[in-house]
Amino acid sequence: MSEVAPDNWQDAVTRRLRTLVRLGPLHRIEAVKVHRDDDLEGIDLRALCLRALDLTIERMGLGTGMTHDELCDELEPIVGRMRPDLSPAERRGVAEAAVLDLLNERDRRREFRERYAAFDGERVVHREICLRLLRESELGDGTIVLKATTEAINIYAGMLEYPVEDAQIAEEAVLRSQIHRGLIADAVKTAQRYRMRSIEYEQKIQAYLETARRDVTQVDWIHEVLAFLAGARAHLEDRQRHDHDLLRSIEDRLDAAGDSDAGALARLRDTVEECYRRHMQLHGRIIPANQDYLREQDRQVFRPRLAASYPDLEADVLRTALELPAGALAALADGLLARFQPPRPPPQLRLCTLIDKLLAPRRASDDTEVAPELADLETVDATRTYFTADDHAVVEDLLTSLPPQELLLSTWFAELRADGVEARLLRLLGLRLLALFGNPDDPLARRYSIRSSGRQFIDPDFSGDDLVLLRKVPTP
Amino acid sequence: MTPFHFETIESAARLVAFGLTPGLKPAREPAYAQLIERYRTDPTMRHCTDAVARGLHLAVLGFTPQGVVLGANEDGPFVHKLADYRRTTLSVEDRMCHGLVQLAIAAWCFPAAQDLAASDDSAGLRFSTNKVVAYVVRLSEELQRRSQHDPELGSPELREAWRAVLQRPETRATPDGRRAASTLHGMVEYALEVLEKGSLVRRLSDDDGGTWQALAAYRIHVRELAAHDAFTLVQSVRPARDAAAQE
Repeated sequence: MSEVAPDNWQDAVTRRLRTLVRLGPLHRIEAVKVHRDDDLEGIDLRALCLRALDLTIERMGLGTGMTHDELCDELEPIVGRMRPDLSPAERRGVAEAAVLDLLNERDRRREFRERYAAFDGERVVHREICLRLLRESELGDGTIVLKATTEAINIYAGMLEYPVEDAQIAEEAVLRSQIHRGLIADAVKTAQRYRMRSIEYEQKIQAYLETARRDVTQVDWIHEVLAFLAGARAHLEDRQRHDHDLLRSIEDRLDAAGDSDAGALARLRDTVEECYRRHMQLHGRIIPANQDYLREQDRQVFRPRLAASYPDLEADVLRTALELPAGALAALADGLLARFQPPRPPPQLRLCTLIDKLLAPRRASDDTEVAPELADLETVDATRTYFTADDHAVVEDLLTSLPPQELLLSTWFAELRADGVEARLLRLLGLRLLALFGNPDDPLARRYSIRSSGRQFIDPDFSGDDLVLLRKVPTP
Repeated sequence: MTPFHFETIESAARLVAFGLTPGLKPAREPAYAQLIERYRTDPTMRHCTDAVARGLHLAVLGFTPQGVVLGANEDGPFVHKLADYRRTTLSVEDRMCHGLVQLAIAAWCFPAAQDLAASDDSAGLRFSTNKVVAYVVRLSEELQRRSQHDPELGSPELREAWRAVLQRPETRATPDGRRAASTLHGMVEYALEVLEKGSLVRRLSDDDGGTWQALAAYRIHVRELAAHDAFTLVQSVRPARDAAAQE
């Protein structure tokens, strides 16, 4: 183990404290559940979170990963066992809450921050550990899968304060000893931890290479990264050699094993083989890393970059913008849109396609309703845009109460307006009359005679010919 | 000067075209995946692609497992201008709000510098349209509480943006039950729909006024193209405001 044994109580306390505070996020998730809107009495969110990590790490080992929905599907029955009285929707809600808490969704997926007091000689200094537990990773086909971080695997595997490399060496030594002594059932359990360590190491290497690749200016390649790569290469070569030895010992035992041990030994062989393959693939990624770096450096030298650090969008940009005069900010709208929106390929006119479309025979309509584009909907004066059932009833009353004599539309409208009838109702009345005038088959139309007077109708809402209305008296 | 082979130029242009095709994923289009790998490993291809993009007033901002992330230059044919974005006539307050909504969505997803530094395959947070609206309103209300100025001071254009935000309805239904486009909600939703078309966010459900997830491409876009420029743009207007306040 590379961990130096603490030679004084200060180091020992600080080391144990760091181990303790890494579990802080899980304890806090459980502690704050009383403040939630949901009834979580009897639900142990820590247990759900640990099972969620377990399932995620398991799938990572298979090289696939688990989507948010798949993980919730797995957690739902566990919630049901904790609280059988919850409805399926409520169980789902609790399962989702546990996954979102592990992502720290409440705090917009920032890192969990745990403060602790460290002893630096005689002084006490306050330090902070930042960690993530789960993250969502995008795949090439558009799916998004969950991945446990190295810190989460570390928590789950229970060796908190040891570097993953040392933990791997330790697990492997135990594994070798157990195989040698024929403790196959124990060896299977140790192999699971060894496998988890190999996944953790893979995550560590990938995260390191990603950081180095993304911004070559932020890493000291010669002193730091090359040393890291050399160490990783040696470690992986060692792992492959030892994995190979372990596999040979397992095969030897398998040849001589009885039926009782054969199944366990086969599982053991599969697990160690998986680790061996993972170490081999990682080794394959480490070898060309230096060449990758040189290419990235070459590329990034020419990339326009104003500064190495990014602004805080909330504190430095959005808050400042809210305090700007509205006119000044409006003048920036085009500039902001240009930068925050994705490129928009302009539609190109292809003449022959256009002509083909114009000359094509008219297609039969499939009668499906086309929804108008929401984006361009604007609310206009709401008092003029629609009529209620009451409005229609009032207009019907007006029409049926018309005296059975010829009446000029303009006269009638003037009377109604003088009586204080609302403009909206007059508008509906006008529309209704127009509908009657244009549709003699309307049942109501048959009860009126409507003809043009030849004079012009002048009204704020309508223009056209003035109409002469006559309500026909029904013949007995 | 390295002479480019015609095949390389064509491949570079195809990679840019793939990047401009909404919804296209390398896992579903092997030629796309091959060109990305070629860009990563072949310096000639990389220089050529960057040059083709530059000529089109575009920039290769980065890659995610879901494809190449392109950004448009302000003076090029691919840029989203307010006139294309909203075809209706916009008042000063409308224009201001549309610009602010862009900032608010990005700031909600990546509030601090370290949120922009997450790895390029990490999907971003899940959020709802309502949350973004509530966020802008909450920040505006904080500024209102701190403000000592007379709210009626000066013309509408000279008043602070947060006052216009608080005066604007958050949401309002149109007669057919839809949300009016001129409300904060309508503006945020529209902006997110455009981001979705460009594969920068994905829609998850209709819950809480529409729920969304920021994608890695959005983080790269904001980090490589928008964050610094937005900071510079906003800061560039500050002295003018301070000068006006002193007069």
